[in-house]
Amino acid sequence: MKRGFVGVETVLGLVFVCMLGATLLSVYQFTTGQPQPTTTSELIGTYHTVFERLRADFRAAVTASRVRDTLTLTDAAQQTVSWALANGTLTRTATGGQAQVMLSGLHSGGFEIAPPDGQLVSIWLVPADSFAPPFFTSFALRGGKR
Amino acid sequence: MERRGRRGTSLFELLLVACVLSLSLAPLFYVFKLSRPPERESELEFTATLLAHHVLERIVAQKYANPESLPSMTSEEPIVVTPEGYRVVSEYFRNFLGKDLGLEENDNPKLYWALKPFTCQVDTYYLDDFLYKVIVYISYEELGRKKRVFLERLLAHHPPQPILEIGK
Repeated sequence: MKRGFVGVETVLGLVFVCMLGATLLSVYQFTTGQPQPTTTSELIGTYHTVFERLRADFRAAVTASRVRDTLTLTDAAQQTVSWALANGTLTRTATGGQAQVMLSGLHSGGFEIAPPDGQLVSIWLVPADSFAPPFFTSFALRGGKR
Repeated sequence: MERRGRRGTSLFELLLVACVLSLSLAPLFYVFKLSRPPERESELEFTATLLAHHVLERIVAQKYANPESLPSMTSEEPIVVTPEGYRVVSEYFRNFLGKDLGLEENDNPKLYWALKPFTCQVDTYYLDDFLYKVIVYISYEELGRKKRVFLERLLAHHPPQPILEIGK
């Protein structure tokens, strides 16, 4: 009576080959499977940078003033940082420094100081690309406080 | 000398090997899952995080202006005016771009439609040591699943001193 058609060694060999193949596939996916950056993901990366700079500036700011599309933050040492929106570009200028372009390709945007005490500043940015997400958030003037 | 013939595998042995194979696939699948590239932060998740940050900063600004103030707990509310008008806009988004009752479509259509999918809820808790905990939830729907981002913050809270009656 025939008890089988494949030797146990063959079965174990097939198992080994399968596991080796799956492992190699995992390694291949890990090394080459990173998704390609898209325009939106690049924009979100830029938003992250803008957010971090704004947060750092507001952490030190004591007062905020707005003239049209320019927001000026002043810290306790009377050092100022200006954020300006012009021609679809968001720029940041520190005291004695040059204007640094933080974001371009904007459709519209603005700064709003919340009344009555002016301790909160809202910022909104709408990109020209209608499929790209806008940026909207607010920051409290911390003046060195946490 | 009788040469021993090669014996085939029985069904029992095949099943045994299959069991061992199944067990070995579990850690293999785990390794495979770990090797997957991390999911990118979606646009909606990023916008929700910014909105939650807005609410917390608004609470912090109120606290700086009036140290006695505490934020109130709110249910899940829209953050822009809904066309139906039945649901009240969250109080943290009412004073928005010069509006008193929330952003409407005519004010800024791009921003309006970008913020419309989100709702805001604020939970608050009294804790020991005069602390007050605020949790901001921003909810949205993505790929048919309801998701939410939350940020939390502890605020110092000193209860008002009792008024002592004169003469006691």
